[in-house]
Amino acid sequence: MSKEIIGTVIIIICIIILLGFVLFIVNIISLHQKSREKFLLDLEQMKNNFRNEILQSELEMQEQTFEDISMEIHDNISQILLVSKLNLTMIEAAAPEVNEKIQYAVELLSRAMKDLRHLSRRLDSDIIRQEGLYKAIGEYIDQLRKSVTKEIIFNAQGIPDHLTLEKELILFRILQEAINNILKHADASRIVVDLSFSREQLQLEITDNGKGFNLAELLGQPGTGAGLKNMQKRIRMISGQFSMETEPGKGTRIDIRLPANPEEPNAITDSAGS
Amino acid sequence: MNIYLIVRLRGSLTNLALFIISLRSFWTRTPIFARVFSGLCFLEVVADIIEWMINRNDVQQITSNCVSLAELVIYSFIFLQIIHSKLVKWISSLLISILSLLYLWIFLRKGLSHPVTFDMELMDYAVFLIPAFTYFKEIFTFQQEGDLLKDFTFWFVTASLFIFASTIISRLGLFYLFTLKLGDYGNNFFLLSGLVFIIVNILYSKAYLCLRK
Repeated sequence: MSKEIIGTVIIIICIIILLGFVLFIVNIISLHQKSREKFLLDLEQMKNNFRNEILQSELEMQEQTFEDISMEIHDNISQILLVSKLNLTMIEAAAPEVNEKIQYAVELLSRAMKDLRHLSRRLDSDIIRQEGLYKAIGEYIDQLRKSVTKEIIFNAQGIPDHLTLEKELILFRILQEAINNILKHADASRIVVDLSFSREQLQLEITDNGKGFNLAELLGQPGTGAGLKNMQKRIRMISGQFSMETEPGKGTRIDIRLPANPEEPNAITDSAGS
Repeated sequence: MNIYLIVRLRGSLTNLALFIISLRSFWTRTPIFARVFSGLCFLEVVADIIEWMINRNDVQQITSNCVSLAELVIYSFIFLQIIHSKLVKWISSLLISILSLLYLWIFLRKGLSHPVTFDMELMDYAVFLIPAFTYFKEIFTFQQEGDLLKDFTFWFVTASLFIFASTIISRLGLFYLFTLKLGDYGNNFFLLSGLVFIIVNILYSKAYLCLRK
């Protein structure tokens, strides 16, 4: 082989080795990019799991607190009020000169006891545990109808009787929060709660004809909209979707959708309205 | 102007450009070794100036030996900072210590103007290949989150690995050509080295341009 060819071959080999180096670096970058994407995905997953666990603990603590308050109202405060009411009734008989004031005090006590009873029932999650979401919502709305002068309509399509307790509790607390918000801020005369459960999903819709508000403005203000964000977080935690439509003067509509869990048996298709 | 002069001039200019860019490390958030490497760039510029001004073989040899020794010290410091593996650190330290003693022995016996760069640099670079490849292995463990393309250390090690690998390859190739008495082809290697040198300086500059305030 001539010297010229050997020289050229050696130079070509050197160039090929250098090109190999470039390929090595490109390969490293590409592999690292893939590994990084996976790492970031895992990290995000871990963060989500962590957030969900915190939220879950918060919910459990909240439920426990509600339970404790409910029991305290039922077992202690209500009893004290009852004894006070009985004492006042006895005084009323013994001292007719203060009759009117005592009667008024008894009336106030009765009202307080009634309110406390309602509050106790609202906080108590036993009804959900025992009767399920559908009945808990029905009873809650019946109670509301007795204490407020607004028209409250509850429509149910299908019975969500096989949701997990956690999901039912979250949905029930969100419904309570949404209706509380309507009663406090919306100035509405009509509230409609639609609950439908099909093979694919559960849908809970809460609509009012109140004054509505500017959603973007509310979320843009610092320190406001915490309740709304909290509702969204809870729904996300149970893999649901939360959306809200509102405009000043046009009422508000909250739409919650939960995909049916394949492990949860489908609901009985039934129609119920009240 | 002959081709050697053009390649040398281009090398000196890219050295100067790299030194200027490396000054960024003094007013950006940066690992300490980025500033230390800036010191090496400065030394290279000074060596270039001396070589251009004093056109004597012995002086050029002394500057070349000094730069080679400074490279050994500075690259050692940097790589020992970059890599995590204790075993590789230990092996690299041992080899670097042996090389340092070898430098000392040659300089004491034959003087600072004795031409050692050709062989010694080859050995230095061969040793540095170990921590450089270790870094590429470790990025999958210790640097999973960051974007490599915006990372100073990645570009720095890439540039270093490129100069080490290409110097080893070109010098071994050149050595082989000389053994075949094909010294004329050395010109091609010289041109190739010049090109590699420019690419390396671009890679180092890219590393410094990744630094942010």
